[in-house]
Amino acid sequence: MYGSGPLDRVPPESIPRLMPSVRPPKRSGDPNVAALLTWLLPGAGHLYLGRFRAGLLGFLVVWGLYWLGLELSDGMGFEFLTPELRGSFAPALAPELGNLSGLLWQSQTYGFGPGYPRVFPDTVHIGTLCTACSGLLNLFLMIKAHSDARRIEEPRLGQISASSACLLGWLVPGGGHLAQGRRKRAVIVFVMLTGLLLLGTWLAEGSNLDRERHFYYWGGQLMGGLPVIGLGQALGQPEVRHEIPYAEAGLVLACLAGLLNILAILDVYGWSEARALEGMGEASGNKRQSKRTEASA
Amino acid sequence: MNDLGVHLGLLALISLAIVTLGAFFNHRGDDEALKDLPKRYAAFLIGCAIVALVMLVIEHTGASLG
Repeated sequence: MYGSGPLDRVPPESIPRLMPSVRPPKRSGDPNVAALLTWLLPGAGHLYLGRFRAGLLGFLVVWGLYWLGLELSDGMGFEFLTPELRGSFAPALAPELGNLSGLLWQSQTYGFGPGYPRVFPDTVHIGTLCTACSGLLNLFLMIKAHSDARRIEEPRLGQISASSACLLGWLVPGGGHLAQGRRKRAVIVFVMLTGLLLLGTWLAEGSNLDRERHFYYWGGQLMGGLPVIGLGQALGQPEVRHEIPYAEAGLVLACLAGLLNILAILDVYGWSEARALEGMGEASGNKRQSKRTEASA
Repeated sequence: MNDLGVHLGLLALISLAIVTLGAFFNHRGDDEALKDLPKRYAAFLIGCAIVALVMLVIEHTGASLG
């Protein structure tokens, strides 16, 4: 009667009940509120959207990394700042700002230290790298919360979500473009930004990668992602025993490479958003078309 | 190469990166962005030259330290 296959024996009117939607409708909310809540407390934006698992995971990863960083650095990260730079808003220009609750916790609990110079622990640099990366990761969690609230985070087949593409774009300059299938742009961005970083590091003889020496420039360079982190780990914090002729030029070049990667990440986000909105437009157009067909029938 | 030459070379290089990223940000298609690149690069370098010229004039007149 209905054919010979197992599904063919099921009456057509019962199929919707037997096969519920793969993605049940999720609670939506204001995208700006979701992003703001994530900034205030990692994962809070997803809790607001009713995505408890994602919220909890986001909180554990982002805050876990910050906590690990504080443990490794004994909370001495802001003691890198020289006394004349230690104002109320001085840490607000650090990458840690991305995780506001972490930054406030560190400022209130550890601040700038007891006021006299102390010996840094051996793990202070890896510790401050962890706190800074926690701040940056939370920015991508904010993008995810914002996109989830707008329902543009669910990519079509063969596409990558906006937040994942942006994260890849941070980790490797051009990585986000590559994931989106824009190979030519990915290669140009990678060669240009990584080339600037390498040239800057060569000119500054690696002195540019030391957060203790260049607190704010280091934050700009960190936007270059894994190449910066890898170079920092490979070269360490070199002792400077002679005058480096182009140290400042190298520092500016390397910092600019990181800052330009922000522009590349914004380009990645814009492209993902445009594709997602086009997809939504097509879907709503198809719905309207089918309604019109039904009405005319 | 003298010091000024090195700095000009670095400026040319860094400008190329800035302008390329700017072109990519403003154009969706790669070919479109790359086609627009020479014009943007020339405009950027000319703009930098004008700023440098104005600064030199000011340095030797109104804001002269000598």
